[in-house]
Amino acid sequence: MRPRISVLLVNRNQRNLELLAASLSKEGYATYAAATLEAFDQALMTEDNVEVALVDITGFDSSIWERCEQLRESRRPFLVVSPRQSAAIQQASLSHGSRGVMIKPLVIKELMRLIQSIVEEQE
Amino acid sequence: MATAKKHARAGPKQDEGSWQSSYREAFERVSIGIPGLDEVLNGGLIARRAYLLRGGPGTGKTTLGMHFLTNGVADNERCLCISLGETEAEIRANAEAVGFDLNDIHFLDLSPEPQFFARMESYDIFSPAEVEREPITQSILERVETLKPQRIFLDAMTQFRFLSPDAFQFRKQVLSFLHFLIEQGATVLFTSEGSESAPDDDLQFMSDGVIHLDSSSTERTIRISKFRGSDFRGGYHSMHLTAQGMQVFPRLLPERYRKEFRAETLSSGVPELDELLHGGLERGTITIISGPSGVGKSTLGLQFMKEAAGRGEHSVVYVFEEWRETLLRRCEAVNIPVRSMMERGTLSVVQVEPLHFTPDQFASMVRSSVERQKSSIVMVDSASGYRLSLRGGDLVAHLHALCKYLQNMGVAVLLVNEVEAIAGEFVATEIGISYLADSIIFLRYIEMQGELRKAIGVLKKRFSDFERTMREMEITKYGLKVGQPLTGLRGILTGKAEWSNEP
Repeated sequence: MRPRISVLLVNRNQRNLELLAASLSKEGYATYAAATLEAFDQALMTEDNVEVALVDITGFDSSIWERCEQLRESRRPFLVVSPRQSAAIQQASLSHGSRGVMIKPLVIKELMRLIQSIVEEQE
Repeated sequence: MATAKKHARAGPKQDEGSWQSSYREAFERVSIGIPGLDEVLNGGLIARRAYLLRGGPGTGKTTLGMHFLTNGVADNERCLCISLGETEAEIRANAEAVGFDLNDIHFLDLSPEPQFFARMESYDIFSPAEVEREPITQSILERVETLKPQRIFLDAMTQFRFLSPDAFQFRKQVLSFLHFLIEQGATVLFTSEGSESAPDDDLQFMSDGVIHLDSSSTERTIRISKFRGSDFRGGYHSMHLTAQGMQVFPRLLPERYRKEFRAETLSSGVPELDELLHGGLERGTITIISGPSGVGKSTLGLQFMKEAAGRGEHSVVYVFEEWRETLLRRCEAVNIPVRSMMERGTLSVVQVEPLHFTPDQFASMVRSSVERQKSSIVMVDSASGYRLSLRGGDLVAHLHALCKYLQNMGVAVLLVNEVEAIAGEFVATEIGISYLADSIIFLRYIEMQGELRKAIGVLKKRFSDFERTMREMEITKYGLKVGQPLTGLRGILTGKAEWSNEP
């Protein structure tokens, strides 16, 4: 049996984390939630099986980009979620290794397709 | 309303064809439980259809919904209230405060739970349409499929707008949802919170009927703008929210009422007055009694009622200006035994409080008297009091409709009309209602040899001839007295009568 793919969810909002986890579980993914920078750091150090990350930058300061760099260095693909359309955020996200920027609110089906394509690419 | 419903649901006769029974079933009526509204809807809503109830905050949408559901429960139907705004506890508490018994009503409370706020459960990662629609839809489907309700009240459908990504999908989802509910056998009443900034025109197109509730600083009204498969009474109808729930007073449409009656004259009981009128006043006619203050207009009207009471007929006076007690005392003092007439059930004297009633509500009160107590004479004392005391616009049109209704019902209508001028040039009425009258009786003060006297005359009488001369009138402790024709006087209409020297 193929092991479940782990997705790291970084989000300040607890309810957002619950909804993301519920949607991803329905599609067969395992999730690891991080609501703070400390939890994000912890996940980067301990969760070796995380294969994809979804980083919602809402509520974080610019130090979030350092963690994005770490994701890139550890060759784990990730997507940045932004509260608004912004060229500056887009540029920062891509320059720190993000595969793309998604604007909230997300459409569940589109999110799943995107994660699926990233996973397939990794394989 | 229960009668209307039972009548509507009477089973088909043995010899009826199957198409007739299918037709009857297709147009089976469901009473809302508010008699006036059922009347406006020609017997109630057509069963197994979906109706939109729209109105701003505080216009009575939920109250109407509770009437709809409790009336269903009274008829042993399964009734479901789906709430997306108020909680079940709030709805129950508010409804029970106005006497609704909601014990047998099923609730599906889909309002936000308090934890939503307390636990900071707001989210922004997905749209509400993505997150909330599925669980809400699932809850409704499960409940409706298990309960199979015959009546559903859904408050408010506009909440679903927030659960749809766009207008097209909202329309599609609502249509599909309503079809599902109707297929399950339910008659659906759903509310919307339409406003200029958030129009609900799409919901109006999707429903089988639209009921509008409106409220202004002076009046609450209800109006039907659409009712597929049925006629209905158009226009704005007065509505009241009372401690007993909602009351609707349908706008009076005189042409809907007709009663067979004998076209006979009603004597006043004063031979000289009857001579002046060539027999009296006719049933089914409108008479304006016009004159200045204190000249005896009300007394004259009550004289006709006294005579009617002698024949065992009921009369009713609506007193707008004078205190009822004052009127009664005055009548007793001039030998019109109003108290014993009231005791014997041949007279009702109704005080109409200023700004308490709308014209529709007043008309409903008059209808009740005419149809239940079989009143043969109705006196409105006075027409200007009617205009000043009732709330709402276009009061002359309402008075016109009321008088025409009474006419069609064979009632003799007496409209007391006060003119401002005590003396001087003659004016029949000052409020533009003379066109309503079949007969106009006028009373005047006249000065004869330095003495103030009263005179009575007839200006118009559509259904018979009348005496062209005036007569002197006196109101004494023995009653109303009318003298012989004042043939030797001239200048009566100017208020300053002089004896003519001409032969």
